[in-house]
Amino acid sequence: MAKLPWHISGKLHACGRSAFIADAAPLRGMLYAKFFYSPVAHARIITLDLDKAKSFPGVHAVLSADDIPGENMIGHVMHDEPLFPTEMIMYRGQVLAMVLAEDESIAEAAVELIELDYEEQKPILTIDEADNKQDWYIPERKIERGEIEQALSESVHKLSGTCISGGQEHFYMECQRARAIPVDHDLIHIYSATQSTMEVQEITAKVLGIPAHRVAVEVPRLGGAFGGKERSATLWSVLAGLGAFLTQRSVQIKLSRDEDMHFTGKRHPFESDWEIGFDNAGMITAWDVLLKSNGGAYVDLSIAILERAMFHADNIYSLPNVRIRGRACRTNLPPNTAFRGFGGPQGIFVIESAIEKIAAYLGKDPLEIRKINAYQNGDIAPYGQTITEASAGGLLDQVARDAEYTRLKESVHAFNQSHRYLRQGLGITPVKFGISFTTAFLNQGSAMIWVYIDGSVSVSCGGVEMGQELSSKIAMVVAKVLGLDPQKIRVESSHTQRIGNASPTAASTGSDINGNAAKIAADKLRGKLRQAAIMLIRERYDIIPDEMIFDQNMIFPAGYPKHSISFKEAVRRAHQERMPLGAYGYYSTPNLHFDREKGEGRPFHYYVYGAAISRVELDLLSGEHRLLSTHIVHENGKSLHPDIDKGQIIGAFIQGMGWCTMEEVVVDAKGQYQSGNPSTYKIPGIRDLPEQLELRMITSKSAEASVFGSKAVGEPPFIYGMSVFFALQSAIRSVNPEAELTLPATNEAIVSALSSST
Amino acid sequence: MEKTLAASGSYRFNRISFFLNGEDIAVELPPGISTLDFLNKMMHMYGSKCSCNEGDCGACTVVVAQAREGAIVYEAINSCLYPAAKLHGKHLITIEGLGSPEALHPIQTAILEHHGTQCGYCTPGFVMSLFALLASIANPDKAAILAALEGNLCRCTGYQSILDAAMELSALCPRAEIMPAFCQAIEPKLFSFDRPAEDCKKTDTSLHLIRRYHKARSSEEISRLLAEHPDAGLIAGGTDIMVQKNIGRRSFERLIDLSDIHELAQIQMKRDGIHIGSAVTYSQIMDSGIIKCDLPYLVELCGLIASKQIRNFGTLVGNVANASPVGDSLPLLLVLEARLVLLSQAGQRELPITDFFLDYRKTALEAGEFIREIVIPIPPRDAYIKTMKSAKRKSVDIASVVSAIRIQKDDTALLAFGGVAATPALSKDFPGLYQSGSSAEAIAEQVAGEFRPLSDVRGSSDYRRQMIKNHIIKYLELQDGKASLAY
Repeated sequence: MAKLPWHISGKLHACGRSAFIADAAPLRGMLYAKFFYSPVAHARIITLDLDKAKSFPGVHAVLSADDIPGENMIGHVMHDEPLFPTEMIMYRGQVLAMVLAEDESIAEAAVELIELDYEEQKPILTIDEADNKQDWYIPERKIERGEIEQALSESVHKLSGTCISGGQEHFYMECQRARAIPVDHDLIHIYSATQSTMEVQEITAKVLGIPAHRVAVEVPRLGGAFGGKERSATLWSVLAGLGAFLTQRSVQIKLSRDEDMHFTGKRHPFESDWEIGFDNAGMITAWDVLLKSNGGAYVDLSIAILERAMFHADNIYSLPNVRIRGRACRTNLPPNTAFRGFGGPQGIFVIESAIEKIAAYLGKDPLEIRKINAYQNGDIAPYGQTITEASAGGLLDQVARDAEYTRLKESVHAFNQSHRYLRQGLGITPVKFGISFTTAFLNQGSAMIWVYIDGSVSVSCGGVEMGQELSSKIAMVVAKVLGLDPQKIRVESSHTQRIGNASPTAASTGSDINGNAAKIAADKLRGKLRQAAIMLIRERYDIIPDEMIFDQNMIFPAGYPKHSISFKEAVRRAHQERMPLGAYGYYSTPNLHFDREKGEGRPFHYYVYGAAISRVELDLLSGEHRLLSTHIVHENGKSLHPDIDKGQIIGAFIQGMGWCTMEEVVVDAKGQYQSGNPSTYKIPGIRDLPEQLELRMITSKSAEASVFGSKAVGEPPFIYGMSVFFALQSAIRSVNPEAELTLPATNEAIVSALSSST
Repeated sequence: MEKTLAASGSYRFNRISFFLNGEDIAVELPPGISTLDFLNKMMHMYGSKCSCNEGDCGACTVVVAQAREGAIVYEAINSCLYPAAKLHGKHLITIEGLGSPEALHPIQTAILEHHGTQCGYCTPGFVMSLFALLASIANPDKAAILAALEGNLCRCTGYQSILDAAMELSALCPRAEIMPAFCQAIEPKLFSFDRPAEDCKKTDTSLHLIRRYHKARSSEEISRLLAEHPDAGLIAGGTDIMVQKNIGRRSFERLIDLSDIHELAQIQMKRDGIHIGSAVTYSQIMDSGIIKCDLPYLVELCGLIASKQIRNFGTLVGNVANASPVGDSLPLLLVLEARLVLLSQAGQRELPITDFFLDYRKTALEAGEFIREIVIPIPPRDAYIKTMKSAKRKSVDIASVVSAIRIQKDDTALLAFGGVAATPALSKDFPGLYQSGSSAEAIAEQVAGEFRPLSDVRGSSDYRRQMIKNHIIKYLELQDGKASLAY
């Protein structure tokens, strides 16, 4: 078997040579943008005085709502978000004006001269405040199956509670940025740090009042995104485009880390009320949950995120009677947005918390409760999709074997008996994660391939490379179809003028939809090259081949490896025969539909399953813990590249662990983030890795899996981080069974949970 | 935010010369420009990445080589906080110097082969941190690797692949392969370097927050400058002042850099204790044989401060002068009864550190005065001395509560806290309570009553009060090995 390729940009990354947007020498005449941000969370604008800033030496322009040639609107799902607000300020840090100057420091100094007169309003900041006013983006959503009221009243046991999970800062290493360049007085070329080229193009065109084809959006690569550049990047790219359009000069925008952390949206905090019914064995008979999210000041992606939370409120559990309701609340915070998992983690956290409560109530092992309730083939999810490849139960068994769960439980018990201030705990979290955009029409992808006359290959797709190694996977797919070495394939930037109307690279679907599109395009080329190869082989070897093999840069008839011609020869011949050497591939995921009104349909192409067990050692006095071990079992289809997928799984796990433990978004009573810089907001560092980390990837044959039998990998493993939370909770409850631990489980939250009971 | 950028552009530039990736260069630097801005904005070298601009992420890590005590040391630093004027006479090694896609350095190969890069933005910083580590230590163990990499954040990989790469390099890659020829070629030039740093008046269209960056050559010169310009700021490492500039956008009329003054960069054992000069970095303290032997808890403490990159140019005296209520080293220095040697044109005086912190960020330093060195008397060997730091993350975090204890057979019993009052402070009640044999719980309860901690993003007042109690209980629990159960 051929050795799998390294990261297609790996050498460039390791040498600091890879091109990131705006990490490049300034262009001649380029202007630098700095912003006047709203100092308050909610206010009526009385006047905005830009005159002093405009006359500051070195300032080229100061732009505000009055300067917009087209529509002052960047809302996409709903038309609710202006580029610059003209009447009401909706969140602290909202951009009110943009200064363009010949130097960053001049722009910064000029921003200080802008004067805003405003009438402050009381901001709404919490889910409770918004929910009490029924200030929701859409009326309450509902998914229901069975007879929930009756089932609850007939349940042998009932428990209820409220689950709170906090926000999360994306902390992509590369902050928001864009560089826009006017070309030919006709086109604005935006190098945009976005996951969504189509959206940036569409909205920029609308704001500028020009057709979309006059806006080219290009993304060479992103320095991390995690959902934070799916929608949040649009504002900055449109601003750069507007500046370049109006000044006919290049414009560069680079947010500082503090600006980015203070003023851009984050993972949605959720607050959820639940009630669960179950029998003596712990079988769930009824699950009633109300999920409420903090959506921030504009709708952004809040509806789809709420929907995904609702779709994951069952996690791996078969629920005969179920009601899942959801409300997306409007508040005066920067619009909360997509973040790896996209509501899934928030939904899963609620039912996993309830499972823990059932286990404690019945005095049973939480692993057992999870197993007996796990989906079986033929079960039906709350939204009506039939489960056909259920594997969570088996994966729980596997991870229990890998972690030696029974032995571990005994050793934890013995440890806890023999220590005064140290407590160990075990946490288990399984996952079933639905793959597809739940907005069905987004499940489409395009790719375009050129084979050049020397046999070299260039591939473009709508997907954005942001570290997930989509480009490596695309190269592998094309290489496999054409029998080439993947290193010889160039995967190009995402560019609207090559691949238009691209769906965002999101929802873990990047390699599925773009990989399939690339495969379709490559298959077309293979068909043409096959014809050319047959001509050559017929002439050269006087045989009439049928099935052709493409392998190691050669093409030969099946069974006749010596009667081969080179790939390059076939290309030249195809060109001479006037066959197309470019191909376009289009893919749309089959058989997806969902009726939002009824809450019914088949929103997912397939599911990804897995499970994790973590063991922690908690210091009851300091609230600090050591993560002693984590075992993960992850079902992966037929992985295109196990090393890439391993990197995704561990990276997502650590990110999920951060959300569950140390990453605490703190907002004050004025709607200002107190955790708006890296000295107050902590993401995991290298010392936070588990002391022992074991990952087993299970190769599975799935009828539903995607390109070459592979499965999506970006988001599902984020859920494994929750095993650390439940391990901590278990350690705390070994001291105080009634303790309620909030998420994130910071040292302070742990100390508070411990002392609340005693 | 105070208004900070003035419209007029007349500045004193620093004219310095140093080595950049093996090349001898001379540059004129705007005052106080960071090494990262120098690389990105003046040299248009973009391999060193700006991600946080405040020393918290390591994406901008570069390596500085310099002569120290007869050897050349290779140290990773955060280029965003390292004033470029400090580079005079040193060798700056950046990612651009280390390898190329056509000829990878062994560290780059290991990162590539272990899939230790995903989005790539943090990768150059990791490579440079590993380079400094492997250039300095043969076969570092996991603890040394974690210490070297704790200041580098990665949001993609979850670190495992990077750690695997580092462990393999440690086991298999000899130092000779780590050290590029151009580094070795520069080493003799670092020993013999004798060109002076200069400055020159310049106007600039760009606006700068710092108007003049003065590289002082002697303690006397500092005293003289401070007498002439009492408002001038002193900068040793700069790990705090540069954050104030980069993030707080604070302006400084004049900064005086004392880091190149040889006599201030010494650790010396004298009759009255160990003298640590104001230019001594945390890393120098951690490497010092004297301190490892006589003040091992100070080494342990320094390991809890910030990251390797910060420890390589941040200073202990800077931590004192900064007088933050949560300064990591301050409770320990209080219980060690350290003394400060203060110098001004009027002369020299000594002050117990217990008299130094007057109020929130207010100290007993008088106008024209600066801390020349800190003197730490050596406690008896059997003294029980320990520090604890409570923070959100295991490393590279600012404390919510930090404390230190010292108990001796001669009835000395001292306990100090940071993060629970406007200044770091000794507990008044602890000595009496301890000597009277009160229970740990009773001591904890009473000492907690002495302080009125505030609530902020790093912890509520309740949590901080609870931490006062828990630190005390833990100290006494760990000291008292007689308990029937293990801790």
